Amino acid sequence: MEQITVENLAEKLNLECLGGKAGLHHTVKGVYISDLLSDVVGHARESDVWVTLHTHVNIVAVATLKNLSAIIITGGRVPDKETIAACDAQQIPVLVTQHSTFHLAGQLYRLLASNEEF
Amino acid sequence: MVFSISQAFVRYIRKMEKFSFQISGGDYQNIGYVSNTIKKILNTRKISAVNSRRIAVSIFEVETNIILYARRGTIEIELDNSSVVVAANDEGKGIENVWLAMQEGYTTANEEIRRLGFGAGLGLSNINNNADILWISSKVNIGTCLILVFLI
Ligand SMILES: Nc1ncnc2c1ncn2[C@@H]1O[C@H](COP(=O)(O)OP(=O)(O)O)[C@@H](O)[C@H]1O
Ligand SMILES: [Mg+2]
Repeated sequence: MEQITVENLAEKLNLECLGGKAGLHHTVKGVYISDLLSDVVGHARESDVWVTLHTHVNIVAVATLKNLSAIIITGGRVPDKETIAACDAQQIPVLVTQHSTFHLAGQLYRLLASNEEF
Repeated sequence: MVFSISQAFVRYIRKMEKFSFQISGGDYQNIGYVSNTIKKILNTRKISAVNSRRIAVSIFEVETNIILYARRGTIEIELDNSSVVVAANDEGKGIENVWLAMQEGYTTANEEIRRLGFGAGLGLSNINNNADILWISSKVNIGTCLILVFLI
């Protein structure tokens, strides 16, 4: 199966990229959904896209630590200025959607679950 | 007392490359700085991705706890070809019951900390799952000392 990039995801799911655009070419290997930072640090896998409702700068440290491919913030929340700056510096795309985490999870599942690698 | 034990231990581990970081309690913005810095250093060494990941995850939890729960602290990291040793010392409120603190889900985090997504009570168990040796010593109202050893 063809590899999916963060840019492909953004186009297909109509996500707006607010920072870290230099990382849009990252390959997406999976999805991790959690709002507990230690859970993400413990269990997310490399190249996962992380779906969260947090907007503060600590999410970028977590994404960098775990080599995540991108961060998607749900529910129309907007990342802090520091978060966008850190995403630019670390080249980790931060994307936003108006949809709820539930709705986005469904969209991601439909898009990615047919991918054997995923 | 807590501090002198770890310092003696660190002195004992000779001929290792050494990195040292000062941490200030309450410095939320810098959570992840030490772990990401060390991860970058490890990535330039002959060390497997699995090892660099588990070391970075553990240091992340160590620095987070100092920033969330202590007044100030230091993290010292020593490495050679076969092991990585992390020694963290802080001055702060200490841990009353280390066994309880180690339990998954146990936390004393306040509302502000939990609003940020910290305080799930998973930090010490993350460390325990990732380090080969974990040694904790703490005195209430004095501070906490952790020593982590990774065989690589
Ligand atoms: N360095 C420390 N100083 C004081 N208390 C600590 C320290 N580290 C951990 N603790 C205590 O242990 C508890 C559990 O820690 P941890 O497993 O990392 O979970 P969390 O940080 O999510 O609460 C904390 O809530 C806190 O009460
Ligand atoms: Mg913790």
